[in-house]
Amino acid sequence: MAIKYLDSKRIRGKSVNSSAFFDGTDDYVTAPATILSGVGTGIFSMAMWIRKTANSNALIRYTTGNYWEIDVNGSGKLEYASNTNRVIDTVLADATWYHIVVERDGSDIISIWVDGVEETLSDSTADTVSFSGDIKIGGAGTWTGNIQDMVITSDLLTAGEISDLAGGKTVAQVNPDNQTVHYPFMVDFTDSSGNARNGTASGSVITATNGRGDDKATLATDSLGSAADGTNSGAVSNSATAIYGKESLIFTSDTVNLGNDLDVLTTASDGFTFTCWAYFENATASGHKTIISKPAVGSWTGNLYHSFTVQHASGTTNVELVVNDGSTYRSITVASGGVGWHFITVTKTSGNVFVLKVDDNSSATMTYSPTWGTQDWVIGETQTQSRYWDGKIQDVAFWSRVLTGAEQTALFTNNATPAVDYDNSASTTSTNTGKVATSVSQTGLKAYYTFNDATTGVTNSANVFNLPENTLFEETDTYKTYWLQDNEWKINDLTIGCTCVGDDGGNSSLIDYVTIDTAGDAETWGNATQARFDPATFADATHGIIAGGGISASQNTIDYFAVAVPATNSTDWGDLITAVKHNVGVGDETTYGLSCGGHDGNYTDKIERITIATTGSAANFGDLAPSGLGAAAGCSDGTYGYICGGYES
Amino acid sequence: MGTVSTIEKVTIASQSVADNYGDLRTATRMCAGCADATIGLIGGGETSSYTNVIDKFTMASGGTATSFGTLSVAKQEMAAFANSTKAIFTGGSTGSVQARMDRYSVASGGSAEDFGDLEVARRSCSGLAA
Repeated sequence: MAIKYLDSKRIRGKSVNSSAFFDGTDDYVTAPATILSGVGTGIFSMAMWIRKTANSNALIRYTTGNYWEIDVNGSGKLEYASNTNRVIDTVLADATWYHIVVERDGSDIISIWVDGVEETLSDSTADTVSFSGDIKIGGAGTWTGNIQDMVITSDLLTAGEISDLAGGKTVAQVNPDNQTVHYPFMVDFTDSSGNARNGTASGSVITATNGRGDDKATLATDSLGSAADGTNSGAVSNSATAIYGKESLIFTSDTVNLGNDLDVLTTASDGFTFTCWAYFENATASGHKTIISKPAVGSWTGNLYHSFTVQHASGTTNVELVVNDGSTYRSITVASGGVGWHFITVTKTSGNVFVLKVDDNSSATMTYSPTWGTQDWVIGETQTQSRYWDGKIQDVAFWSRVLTGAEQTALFTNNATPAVDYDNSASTTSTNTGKVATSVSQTGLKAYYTFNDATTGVTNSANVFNLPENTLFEETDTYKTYWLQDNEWKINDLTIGCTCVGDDGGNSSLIDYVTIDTAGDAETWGNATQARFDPATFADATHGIIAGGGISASQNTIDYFAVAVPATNSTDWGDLITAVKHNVGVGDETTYGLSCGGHDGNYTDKIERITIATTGSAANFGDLAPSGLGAAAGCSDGTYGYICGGYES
Repeated sequence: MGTVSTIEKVTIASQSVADNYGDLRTATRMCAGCADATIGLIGGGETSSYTNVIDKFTMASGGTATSFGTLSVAKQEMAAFANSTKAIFTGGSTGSVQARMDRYSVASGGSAEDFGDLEVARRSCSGLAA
């Protein structure tokens, strides 16, 4: 592993909340015809994020003159409809964000991309239909769903621009040439291209800053977990004994230990801010329910039991902030507003002025100097008092400064998290969907725990979910760790790619390598102990393993080479149980690698497991399902290995 | 049986195998695989002839693979590796050994970017990333 620097300014475009929402009844945005400068004939590109909740939906259309529209047909497929219908292959799912690009080239031929992949269209004839009049975005009242970051150009987008936009970059970041209009639809209906072709909203079409109630519902729904979870059908399960979920963590008698790194906040010269979203299961708390606590040194029998605690106060609807100076505790309370998601903000100035705020509305203030303990910051409990949080929590953030009122409002209004894009992989399971506030500076963002994508259903017998102390940002279900350093988001990622051994006309022992993010010819890393072909390979952060392979006959050699030390040859690391070639390797990137199948005289179903960091021979690890399989491809997500295709005996 | 399209899922920590977890679009052998944390990519190989197809499948859900993109040329016996943003297919054989490395954005796929050449053209190699 090595550090990879992310573009800290990159924000994913796929936001539920920061988009225009159309109700499918009477909502649309009217735009001047000049946004499509090539109407009739000529080149244009149109790109946008869309999210539908029904089919048979016109996305954009002319309402006068000849028939022309881009829509989703009754089968859920995008189509370009004019003189004839040009339908894509892919069925677009409901409630899912897609990035689409529609282009007409210099020969008036239409092309459509979905999520950066060009679609095959049902008809490839030219479109030369002429139009007049205004354009209705939202199909004159038929689009049911969201549209975001729409841009039209009088040029064709480049492949790189299409890729970047589909990958999550905003139009503002990609900034394609010759824009005729750009509607971000994240704030209002203003044209951001500089051409002043602003849209006019009809019906009740709204954008994020209008405080769309759908935002709250979306947040709650997401936090109940994906449909695949099975346990979250709309009601929160209180029977769970562990933290699980997607988009939030569900607490029953669970805690998240944040370590002591946050102690630096207690003496921060600019104060600090704590923000989080918390779901209240009950309007009135039965006993104190802890959102976060910084216990003091000492026992609960004395008075030093609260350095800093935010809780749902017993027997009330109130959110309570409790601090203690070593002899007396002080508290302030704000009404929670009852069952549901609430945005909690606590700010502390360097002069120890505390402000507690709920939903950016009611607030309470006190000035008090707490005695800060040295025990860990804990989410979900105080210090051994069983005052467990009984709902959900997500997007916990700490800032080494007092957020401005405008920033707090932006976070609340947009159901927002800090404006960061950690999802550089465009993963469908780890998007920061719908909760970004671009107006909030990252300055001072000390720690940020999304609690997104916690492994579904994971159990933790101790009911304690520990996060690494040095981790300022943790995505809990992958090997990736992100953190903010020097004002840049960083991530552990794979950086070196090695091509090992092979057949160059004879058997080769060469290991050559590239830096994955930097184009260029491969260079020599070293040589394997044995020239051979078709072995299994895998690695952890420091060890590259080459197992088996053939020189003609199958081999049982296991090689190790140091992937962190260039120009090193491999060494003998042990043996496979059975000599095999055409085997495939998959590994978990940390501990184990598997040599699967291959040919040991016959095609075999054997799986052997190798402990990557430890020299020694492989161990029997069971069988593949087929009785014999070789010449397959393998890949891994760190937990599972996938053996794909191949030759089955 | 011959060349197959099946995707088997092996739990690395606990020794369990799920057969028929998914399928490539076409039965293929001598293909190369790599993945980010979410998407598995299987490229090239031999169907009834050399293929330039790259399939992708979502590792969390399996099912039938979909199109990810195409190699610069139909070939088999490549090596492949990836990180969270880029996937690279190296070497292979079109009938003769190849040195070219094709690189792709994991997020968007599509056509190959000429990334560079292996030091020595070869086939039947294996890839890893670290």
